Amino acid sequence: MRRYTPPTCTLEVMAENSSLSRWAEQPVVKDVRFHLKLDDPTLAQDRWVELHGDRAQLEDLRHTVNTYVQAFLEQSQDFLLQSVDLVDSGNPQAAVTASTETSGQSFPSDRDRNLGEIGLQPNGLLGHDLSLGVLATEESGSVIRLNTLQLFDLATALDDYSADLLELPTLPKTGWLRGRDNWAQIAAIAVAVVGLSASALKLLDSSMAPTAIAPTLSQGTSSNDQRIATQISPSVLDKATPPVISAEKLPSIPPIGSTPKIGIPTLVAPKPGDSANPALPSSKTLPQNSIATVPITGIPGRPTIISGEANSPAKSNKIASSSASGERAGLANGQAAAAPVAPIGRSPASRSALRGGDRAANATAFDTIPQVAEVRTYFQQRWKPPEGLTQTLEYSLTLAPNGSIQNITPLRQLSGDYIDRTGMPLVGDPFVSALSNERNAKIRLVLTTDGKVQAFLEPN
Amino acid sequence: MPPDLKPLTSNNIKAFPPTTAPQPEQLDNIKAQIDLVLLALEALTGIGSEAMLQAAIDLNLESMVSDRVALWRLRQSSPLRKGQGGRKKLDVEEARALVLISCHLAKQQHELIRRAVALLEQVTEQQRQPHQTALLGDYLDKFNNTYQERMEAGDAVSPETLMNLALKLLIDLLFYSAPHGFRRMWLALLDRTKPR
Repeated sequence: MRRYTPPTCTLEVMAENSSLSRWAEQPVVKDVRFHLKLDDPTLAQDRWVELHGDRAQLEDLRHTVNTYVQAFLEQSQDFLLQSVDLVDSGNPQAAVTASTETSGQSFPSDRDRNLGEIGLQPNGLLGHDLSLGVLATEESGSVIRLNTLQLFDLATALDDYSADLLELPTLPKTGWLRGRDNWAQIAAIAVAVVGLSASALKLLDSSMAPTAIAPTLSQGTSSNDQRIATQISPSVLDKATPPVISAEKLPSIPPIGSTPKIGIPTLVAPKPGDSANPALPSSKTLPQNSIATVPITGIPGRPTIISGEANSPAKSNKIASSSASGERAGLANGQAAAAPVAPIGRSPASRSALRGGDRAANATAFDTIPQVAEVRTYFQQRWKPPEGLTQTLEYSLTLAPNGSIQNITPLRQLSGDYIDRTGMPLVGDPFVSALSNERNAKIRLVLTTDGKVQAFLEPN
Repeated sequence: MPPDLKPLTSNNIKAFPPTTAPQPEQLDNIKAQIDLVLLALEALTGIGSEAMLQAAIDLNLESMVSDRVALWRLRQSSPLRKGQGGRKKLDVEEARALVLISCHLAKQQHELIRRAVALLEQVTEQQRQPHQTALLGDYLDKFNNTYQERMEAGDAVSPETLMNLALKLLIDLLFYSAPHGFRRMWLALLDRTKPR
């Protein structure tokens, strides 16, 4: 149903969706009906007129109004024509007075009109008599007088309707095939999105009990846990959003983010059109940000994790629950399940994924060492400013000689607060390529509120 | 016969390729009409050449209407204008540019134009003279003065005739200020099929 509401009338056009719409790229409609209300607020309501009809009658009305308006507009040129002719002949005055007398003759003269026909006749400069023809009702009478604004509004509504109408294509012969391809893609995305939103809710639930979760951090037996706990600023721990926690809890598990992955249990197949690596979230992003990103530690062949996730729904539920004990049990399962997968370690595949095309595409003057560009690329693929963020976020990243992150220092409180929205990798993760001089490097990372990423080398 | 106005796929300029070459007398007409529509806009709204040049920029038409002199020359092509030896040419592309500019400006001034037409209807219903309202009185005065200043036959035209012309153009502006205004104006200019 479309509704057009200029000030002095209301046009409603209703239609049924044809069942053929399923197979077309756009809706296909049938049974078009219209309801036109000439409801000028400056008129008393009892003078309002209501008309309705079918598509053919609407087209008739539209055609009549358009033809009339065009003829009306062309009238102005009668004055000019005469003037021009007579100016040429040296008699301007006669030209001008003569032309104004000819106006009004450009409309179809009063002819025997079929009673069923819709038509318009001028009545002075400002009046326009609309013969309603078949649209006439008892209340409306057969002719209604429109003033110029009413005519204008009616013409505008009919114009807008006709523009909309043209955007509803008739079903093309092969259209339904293309429609089906899109439909499959759209269905896959819809399923993934539904899965994301459902699991996002679960994860948000579990973030509601930070105090319950925080103590479990200290219970980690691995020394890696401790290292991670001290590296990340306290404000992050306090927030204790699930992706952060789970990542910290699984230092020895490929930090591809398999645990947050659990938040997307329904994503079974990689979406078409994604890069070669399947869409996996980085460990620290919330699910809604992550579906389309390529992980920095992208190891080709990651689909095994996805299917692994799908095979162990029990684990996913436990990780997502808010109880501390459930968390531990789930983590244990996670560790077990992920163990068979090749540890990400220092796999050359991961680094080459980074080195590959990224550098060439992204060079700036700040790229004193190639790792700066790599850092920038990594974050450009991930950084999506959250709503409500009003300041840029800044971090000082210390890279270890092997290219992993050695230290993350958020600069300013806000940067710490938002760190888990940035896609920041974990300390110790392979991140960029190894540094050539076997020493540390400090890179400043700036993430702006409008989605831009800057990176440059800090002096040591 | 007035044209059968079929719905067009788009209201943008691409739907109107400049392949329809108007006849010479059509072109005279077009030149005059465009100049008058712009004159009416100037008289009603007070906008001048700066606004027209800005519209040219907004519509990516600077190549055709680059500065005040260029704009003046195009408008000066109207056969009604005084002070010219030969006729200046206005090609179809330039005409189209001016029409686009006119409708763009009219659209910007839609509220004012609508108010003026509403006022005109009101005074007519009350059987008063348009001059008796400030908005319409100013408009008519400015239209009169500028017309007489610029046009060859200016002084020879009776005030009543000029008033009718001004009011007619005011209503035309209303239609040109609508979203599909360009199409209306362009087609009105091009259609010369009716007998004279």
